[in-house]
Amino acid sequence: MNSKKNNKNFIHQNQKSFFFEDFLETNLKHKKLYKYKILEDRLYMLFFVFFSLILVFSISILSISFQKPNLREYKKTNQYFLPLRRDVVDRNGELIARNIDSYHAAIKPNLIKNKELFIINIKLNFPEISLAELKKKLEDKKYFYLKKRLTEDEKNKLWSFGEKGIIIEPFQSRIYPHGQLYSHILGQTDDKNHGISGIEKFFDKELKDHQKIKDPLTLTVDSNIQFLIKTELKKALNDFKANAAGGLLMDVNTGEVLSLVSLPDYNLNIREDISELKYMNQITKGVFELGSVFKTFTLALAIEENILSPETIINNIPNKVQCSKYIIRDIHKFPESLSAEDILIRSSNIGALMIARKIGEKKLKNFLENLGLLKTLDFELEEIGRPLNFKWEKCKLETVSYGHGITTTPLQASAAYASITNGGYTIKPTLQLKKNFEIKNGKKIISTNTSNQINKILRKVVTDKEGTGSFANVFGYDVGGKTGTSKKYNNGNKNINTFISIFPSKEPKYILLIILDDPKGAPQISYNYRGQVVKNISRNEAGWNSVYVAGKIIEKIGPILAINNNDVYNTYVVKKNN
Amino acid sequence: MLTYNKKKIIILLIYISFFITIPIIKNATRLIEKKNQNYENQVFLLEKNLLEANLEFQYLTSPEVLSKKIQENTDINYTNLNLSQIYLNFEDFTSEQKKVTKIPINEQQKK
Repeated sequence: MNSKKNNKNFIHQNQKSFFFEDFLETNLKHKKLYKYKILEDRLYMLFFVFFSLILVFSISILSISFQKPNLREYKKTNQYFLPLRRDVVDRNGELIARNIDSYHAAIKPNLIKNKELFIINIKLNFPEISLAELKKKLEDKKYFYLKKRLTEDEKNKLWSFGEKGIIIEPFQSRIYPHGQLYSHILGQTDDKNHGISGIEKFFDKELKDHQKIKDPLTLTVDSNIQFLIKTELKKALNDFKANAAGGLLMDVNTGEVLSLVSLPDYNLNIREDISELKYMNQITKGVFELGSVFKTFTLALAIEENILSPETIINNIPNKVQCSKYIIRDIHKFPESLSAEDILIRSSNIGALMIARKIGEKKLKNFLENLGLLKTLDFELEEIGRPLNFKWEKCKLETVSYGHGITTTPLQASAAYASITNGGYTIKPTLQLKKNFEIKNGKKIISTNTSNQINKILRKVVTDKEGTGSFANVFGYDVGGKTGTSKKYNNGNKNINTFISIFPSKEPKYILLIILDDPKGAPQISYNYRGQVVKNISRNEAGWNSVYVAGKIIEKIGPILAINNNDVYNTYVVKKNN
Repeated sequence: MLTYNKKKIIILLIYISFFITIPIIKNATRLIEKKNQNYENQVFLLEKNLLEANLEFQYLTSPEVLSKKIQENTDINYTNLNLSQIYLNFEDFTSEQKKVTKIPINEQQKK
């Protein structure tokens, strides 16, 4: 239809002949039509392009609209700080380790134009940097670190040089606000934030857990108590001129370590190469012959096995006993007949030996194994000592009964004392504070009755006239304990003096161990010995130093522990009568 | 034909209305996002300052630093508390104080 119409229209009205077209006119017409067609095509094209553009824009707008806004993008900037390791806090929530922003100063020698001026600037502002070394490194033209771990002032000084070649490299460093206080517990991290010792190494994976990065790791330690114990031990190091000292305060029921001090210590914020043996953790790593503290285990087993009771009299105790080629004797002269409890109170080696012979080797060995004294302890520190292996041959039973010829760590000895005094349940010492901890979930190794009897005897060691621990008899805390004086293995006449105390002894809550390495007599100290002031004493047995230190510590930490413990307060706090 | 055109017109209208409203909403969202970002940056800065202040506080109130400062800046000699001097609550303390203060009053009455 349309084509016919077009054909009709195609013949112009003014055309004279049907067969002869008027070319002039039709040409013009065709040209016009052609032009219109091109114009129309261009318009379509333009419209198509315009429509396509609108389509593209509208699709992109829609797609952007449906995208989730990325509000966290700013965190990628330098301003945002996400710690690489979790904080560590004590049981009261006090901060003891945290990651902070820190900087290293690196140098790109190629970018430093005026090297002489740069060296002068460094000399003026950082006199501790060796200029000869700096010149050499600048000549080498290799990227190097000028100074690591810059302080804020040092960073600002370097910025003020306006030197392109100084690169301030950001990194995270670990800060310990208490400095030296927890050096033997916390350990350290390396430059890449990996734990290399102590808690930092043991809990390395947990401390780097990004799911919990904002939750601190809570330890069982108490900063105030830790400080008080450290202060007294430091004083003891000076007073008794000891080589090293250690202190451990632990909950007898839960095994929570409230304080662990080992002296000498070191500042965790300063990187130093410490290789001297005295810097070892005396409590967990040190393996010692602890001496008479072992007599408590011998007596506890004898009571548990109904071999004797605390009141049983042991007659005809000799002054010395020949055992194989060795002669065993007591330091002091004791009566020939002593009750079983007196053997512990006066600390008689021969008495303990006679009890052990009644018990027998197999039972004593099993008991010590059950107490965990013969194997390596499972504890949350890398620095753990391993008791030395020995064979139960001739005379071993006799010497082990009073703590000679057997080695263990002070931490293990404390855990064993806790097991004996808490009603007979084994405990596992721990540094990590756990919620809903079940008390007395350990293995029962002695009866509650035996445990109570031992506690009474330990109290007598402190209160009895013949007892060796009278300096620990601090009013109001009902302290009990046992001393141990032994010779250092392969070290001549050097002593290792130990005192393991429990308080309150009627129902023990805490155990405090004090150990001094080679303490000397302290004639300058005025001792309050059973109500009398005594001076110029140059004796160096545990009763005159370790016990004295333990007494001073209990005097200071006692009120804090009492305030934090309603049971202790209600039972043992002496109320005014007026 | 009419309905077909109507449909076309409605679709076109919807399209145009979307075309206008989406950028408006988008712009409003961006503004809110920006504000949000600013607030979060402010919170972050405050958090950072708080962390730094907390670290400083923890250092300055650590037992070692405190005892040093006390020795340096005061002449007070602090002594240890005895258990008998500890009161777990204020009522215990006041009742003890009342007991102490009653004595002179009774003595005055006797006189």
